Amino acid sequence: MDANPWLSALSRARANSMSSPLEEVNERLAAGGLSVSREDVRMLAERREEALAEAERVEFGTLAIMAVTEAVATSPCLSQERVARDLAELQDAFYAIRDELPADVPDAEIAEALRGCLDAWGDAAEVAALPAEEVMRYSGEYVRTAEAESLGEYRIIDDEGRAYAFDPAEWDYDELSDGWDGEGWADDWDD
Amino acid sequence: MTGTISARGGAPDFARASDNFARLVTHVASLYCAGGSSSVSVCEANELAASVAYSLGIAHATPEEAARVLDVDDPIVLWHDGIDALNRRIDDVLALWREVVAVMPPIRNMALRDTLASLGEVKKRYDVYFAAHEVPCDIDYQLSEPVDPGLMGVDYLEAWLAQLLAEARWIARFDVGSCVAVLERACPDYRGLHVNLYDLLLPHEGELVPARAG
Repeated sequence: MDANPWLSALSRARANSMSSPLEEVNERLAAGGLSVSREDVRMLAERREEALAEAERVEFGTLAIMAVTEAVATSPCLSQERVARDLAELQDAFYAIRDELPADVPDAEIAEALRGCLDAWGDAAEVAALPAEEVMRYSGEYVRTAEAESLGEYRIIDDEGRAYAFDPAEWDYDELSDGWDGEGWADDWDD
Repeated sequence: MTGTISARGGAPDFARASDNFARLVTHVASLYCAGGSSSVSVCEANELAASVAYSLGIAHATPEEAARVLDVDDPIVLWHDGIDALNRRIDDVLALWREVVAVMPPIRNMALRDTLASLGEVKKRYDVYFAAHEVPCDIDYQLSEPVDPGLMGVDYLEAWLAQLLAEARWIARFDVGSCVAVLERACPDYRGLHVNLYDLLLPHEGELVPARAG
């Protein structure tokens, strides 16, 4: 079975499972006293298709615009006059950044970084023009994780301030690589 | 999990099968992203879809055959059943690998050594959830009869090890010392070259000393 034609059903399955994007976006924007129109949502949907095609990505879960809107709704840099255009810029930036990061970086960290970057730069178009690494500096969790990984271990702090470190090297194991006659596969070879 | 095909006795429901596949790939993609990302690259999506298709046993199926498999109430249960079956087959592959290692006489060839060491780690290397269709090990040793390159995942490993076991059993019929003596004459660099030991020994069968029983 060629799996590719079946992938087109992905967007259909997601569309069937979603309620109205207009309502969902406006529910999130309400926190900042903002709103978009049905025409704005149509424009955002078109920009989303273009951005996904540009980044060569398939979206299967909650639309990225939801995470972006939730993160930036209360930003002082958004205004009712420009909110739709700015959301479109930030949505473009989201997919471009998403494509440069591994799958285990959550969407929420990208949205958090976009919010921090928007507040710092003050203009969504300028944020969209920044390199991914520059934008991601505004996500505290992303920076902490990147620093921990550079040290070869992952560290988390629980609600009571206790630190837990995870060192991947300690979890390495090798139990199945004995050679014949009991000799190790790499014993005393004059390769 | 029940299919509808037998109940209706007619053609499978293609729309339901298609939706089920989309639902299943969405589920697997969500697991792949650990719930953190809502999108993957087209390349990753294709690989995940290929993995799902392989784990369901429909990688080479016609659309109708695939629809019959996917025309079920719960495709996620179907996928888990496929994963369980693949895990059992990987256990069998490991048993086959142990048999090859036990049978193969200690004739040193780097490609064979590295390949068998890699295959011994198959349980650690095989990503049954997200890359079930891929061959998880580094296979450098050349078989006398190459296996079908169209085989995927566990199918390839089973065929490859079965062929190697047949070759190892033939070599094991002979005394190791006589095998090594022949190899050193026929191909002095048999340790380092990507050669097949069976192919090198077969033309010299008359020079090989039968192995002592027991």
